[in-house]
Amino acid sequence: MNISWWKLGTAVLIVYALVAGLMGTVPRLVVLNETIRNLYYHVGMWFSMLALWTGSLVFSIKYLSKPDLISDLKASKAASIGFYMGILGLLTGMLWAQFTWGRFWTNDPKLNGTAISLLAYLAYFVLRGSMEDPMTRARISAVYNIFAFVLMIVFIQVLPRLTDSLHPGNGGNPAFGEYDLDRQMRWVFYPAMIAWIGMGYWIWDIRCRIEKLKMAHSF
Amino acid sequence: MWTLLRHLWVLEWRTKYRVYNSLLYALSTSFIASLVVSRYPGVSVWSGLMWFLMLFNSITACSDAFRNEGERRHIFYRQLSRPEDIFFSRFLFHGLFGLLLVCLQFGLLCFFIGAPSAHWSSMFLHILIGSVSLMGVLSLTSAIAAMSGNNVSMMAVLSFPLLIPVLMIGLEGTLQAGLGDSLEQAWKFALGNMAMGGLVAALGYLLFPYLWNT
Repeated sequence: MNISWWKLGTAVLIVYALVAGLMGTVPRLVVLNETIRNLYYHVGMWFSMLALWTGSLVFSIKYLSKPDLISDLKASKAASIGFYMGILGLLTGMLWAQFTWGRFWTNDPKLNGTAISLLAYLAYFVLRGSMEDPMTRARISAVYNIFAFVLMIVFIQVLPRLTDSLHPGNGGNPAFGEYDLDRQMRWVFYPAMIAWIGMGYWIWDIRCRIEKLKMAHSF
Repeated sequence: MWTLLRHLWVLEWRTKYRVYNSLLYALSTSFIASLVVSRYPGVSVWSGLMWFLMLFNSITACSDAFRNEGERRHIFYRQLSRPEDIFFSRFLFHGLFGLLLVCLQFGLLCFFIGAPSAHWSSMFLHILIGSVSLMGVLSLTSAIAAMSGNNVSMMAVLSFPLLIPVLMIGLEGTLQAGLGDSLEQAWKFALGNMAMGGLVAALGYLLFPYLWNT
């Protein structure tokens, strides 16, 4: 059997993150209580999303500098899997917000930024769907992808610093690192981040290979 | 580039279609707003209304920025000038046009509903700064929409998500300037919006050639 080392590592880390994340000891804190375990999953989804969208950006730039439909395929698949990861991150965050802030949705800069970036990528998919010619589609959507990514990053980085946010780590709220006094959570947190990024990369890899096979069959 | 700007101006002056269109748009929307909102509605409603009208006004003004080009004229432009020059001439033209429109819209709203607050001049400045980055985003998205071949609906789909950041920063800055108690905070927003405008212009400069060269 031919399994590459990173796939094995990702699988092991996912199992570890699930077991140790749910069973391990966490600091006992007022309000947060057990919801602090969400850190392993919610933050991981965002990391995975950002990693995939950064990959999408890289392949879009690559397409513009050297037109090649394979890079366009990779860019679009990375964007769509990043989008699913973003939805998962949003759902886990909403679940957490219900139990700590009391509502699923608040008018928070972080949440707005999320909603906007998801909308921007939806627009990217609409734009792709609207064009027939693969070369034109690849070129124009690559331009939009770069534009949207840069604006999204600026927005996510800048706006929460201008206004107050309820989100941990913003607007005077302590980040999770400060809750974690005994440094125990780190032993799960960092492996979990690697696990979710690895999972995103794995799905991306499979999707790209499926699409390549389809392309090969259609010619 | 100046030749291109003059060329755009001459084209515009020949039909005056866009001028009349936008004039009518600004006038009628302000009038409707005055019917909907009572006199002296307070700073938050006023600036929300202003930004909302501005958004739609600039979308209608910008949506055909890169259209009305036949296939033959496209080749003609490509031979005569660099794509960066084309982008900047249109960006400047529509940006200046947008600034004029915003001034007009502001005046009309003041006339119909009444001035928002005692700090209206600093609010006006914030609105002007915000409208430049609004136009910057719109000129690139309208170029993308025009190149993708389907214009009006695609324009809205593409530009709304990217405009929300600009709108939120601008609106928040305008509000705080209008309330007048935290001017420093308001200037932080204005600076953020200026940086946004600069970023958008730089991105347009870098990306537009790839759109233009088919």
